[in-house]
Amino acid sequence: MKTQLVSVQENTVLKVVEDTQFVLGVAEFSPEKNYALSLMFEKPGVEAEIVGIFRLSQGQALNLATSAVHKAPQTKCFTYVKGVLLDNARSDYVGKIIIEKKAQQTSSYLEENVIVVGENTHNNSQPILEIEADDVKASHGATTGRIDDEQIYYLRTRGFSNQEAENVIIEGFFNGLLNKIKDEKIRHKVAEKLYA
Amino acid sequence: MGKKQLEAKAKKKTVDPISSDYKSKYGFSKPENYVFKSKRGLSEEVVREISHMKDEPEWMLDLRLKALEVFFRKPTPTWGGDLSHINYDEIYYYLKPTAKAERSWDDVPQEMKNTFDRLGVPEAEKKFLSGVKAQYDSEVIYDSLREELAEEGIIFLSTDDALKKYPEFFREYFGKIIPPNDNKFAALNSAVWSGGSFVYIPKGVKVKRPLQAYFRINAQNMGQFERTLIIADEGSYAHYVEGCTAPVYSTDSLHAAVVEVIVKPGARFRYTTIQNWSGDVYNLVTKRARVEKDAIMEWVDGNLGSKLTMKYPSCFLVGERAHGEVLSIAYANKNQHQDAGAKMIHTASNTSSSIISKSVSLHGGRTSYRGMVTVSPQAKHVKSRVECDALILDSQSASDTFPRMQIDESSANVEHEATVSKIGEEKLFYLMSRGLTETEAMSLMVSGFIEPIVKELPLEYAVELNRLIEMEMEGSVG
Repeated sequence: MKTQLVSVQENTVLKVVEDTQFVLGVAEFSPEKNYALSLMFEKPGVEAEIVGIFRLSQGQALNLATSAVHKAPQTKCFTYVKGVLLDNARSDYVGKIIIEKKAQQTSSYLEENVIVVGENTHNNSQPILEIEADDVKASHGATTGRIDDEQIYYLRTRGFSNQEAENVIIEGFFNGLLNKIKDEKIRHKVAEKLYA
Repeated sequence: MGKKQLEAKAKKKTVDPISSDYKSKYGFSKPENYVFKSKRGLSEEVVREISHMKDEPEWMLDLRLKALEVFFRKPTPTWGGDLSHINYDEIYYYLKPTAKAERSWDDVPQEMKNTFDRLGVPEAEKKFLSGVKAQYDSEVIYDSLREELAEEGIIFLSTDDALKKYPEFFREYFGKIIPPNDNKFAALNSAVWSGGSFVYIPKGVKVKRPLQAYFRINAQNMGQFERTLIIADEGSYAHYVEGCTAPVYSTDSLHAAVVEVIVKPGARFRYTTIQNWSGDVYNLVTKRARVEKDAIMEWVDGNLGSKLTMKYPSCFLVGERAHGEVLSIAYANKNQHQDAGAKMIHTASNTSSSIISKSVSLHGGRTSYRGMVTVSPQAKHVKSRVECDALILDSQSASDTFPRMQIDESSANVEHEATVSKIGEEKLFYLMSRGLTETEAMSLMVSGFIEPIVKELPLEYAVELNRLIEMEMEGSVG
């Protein structure tokens, strides 16, 4: 599977012609910007992954939508989105899985996890399934939760400051998904931007 | 149901015949000296007539008229199922119960009679459900139950009667949880409502047996626009059950009910609905509960039949540590769309909620889960969990999931999970290798799939529901 860094625009539509991992990049975390990526599965048997990792600091906002549109049989898609919200950050994510009637034997999954670190944050999530075929597997999961106090406490008893403890936990949270990025250069690029 | 019938028989022998002043005493049925049927279609005149016929206080008429205005003004929602075929001008908005023509048993479709037999519905109920009788013969058991309830100060009446007897409750609570301008169909209901139940559970009273709308079911209760108001006072507990698994034979094409529940501090209330509408009915119901401090509200909602059902029971969790729960089953057969779900609105700290939805679609049916969880700023440490599972049984059927989570508070913990799948070949193969036919194996799997919700139903409903699923599954394979 090849890996491709996608600079998502307001309405980016991509056809999946070979097995591909799409890593999302957005230009700007601003409330005025809307980003949408649609992946079209028109070739039987193709597989794809969508990987989105975001850290929204002080006052930043992200409006993002992803769609996996399965039009051909035996196609497969995994969507992974992970986000961290710091003070006053706002995230709005719509994650769609559409499986049309002809797309039998398709599997499609979506997972979105958001960890809230700051205060006064806003998180809207809409994971959507529209399934017209019966011989398929489709599921999604979305979680939003506060950073774990007990984990922070544990690290603090080991001598970490509060800030360091938070950073370690966030890093661990991101690494799970960063390590899924198969292309090393792209992985570094994403990681760099994440902690910039 | 068998048990109920036996009880009824046993009571019939021991309890004195109902006194002749029953009607005036309990106001269960209205005097029959006139029969009234409103004109087809909806107008201010019709609404005035309804209110006049019911001899209502002025403020209720005002509320109805305002609601009518809202109804005319609001556009038909386009985000859910297809509502474009409802013809509001073809509907009778108010039928005096006695005006309902009784049909002959011979006119009842054979298909429906078979269903009754298969479900084991008692004779008297069969006649009521099929419209042969306008009133269900349960007066004996109903009477003794009423005495028991009255002793504890519980009020359980039709909404029309309650408005006359306890206007103070209505002034305080009616239309407060679901105001007429909430949505188009709540407005319609508020303008032309008729029938439904009023329940008041006094402080600290725990009702052991479920309150069944069945017992006091009559033509009024089964109306198209019933209005239910329930108040569970501090520290009380009750379980209210409405509907039945047998198909309701209805010529009405639109059913728009409103159910308002107020759960006061420390109280717990459970509202169970099992409805199986005939295939031409639009079932558009607004159900909402206000859940106060330390209170618990549970909606158990079973949706079968109908052409289109749009129903999203909600809990407004407004007091600290309030808890809301929705358990929902949707079953969409041929030409049916079940657009059901739940809403949890967290506006107080330490509130929690859980939604479990199971849906099955077959023979070209479509199920949609539509849900919403919101957490307001300053509602600290909220927890919510949503789980939706959908089963699609054949290639003509479809399923959607449209959840929405809006979290404006940083300490909230919200989870959502949904799966769509078909019945596993291996599981079917295993069961069939043990001697089950394919149909038996399928219906066993479907029963297992909805089991977590069915086990929360009163026993007789659970038994009927399982029988119904078995029956519906016939002919679904091969």
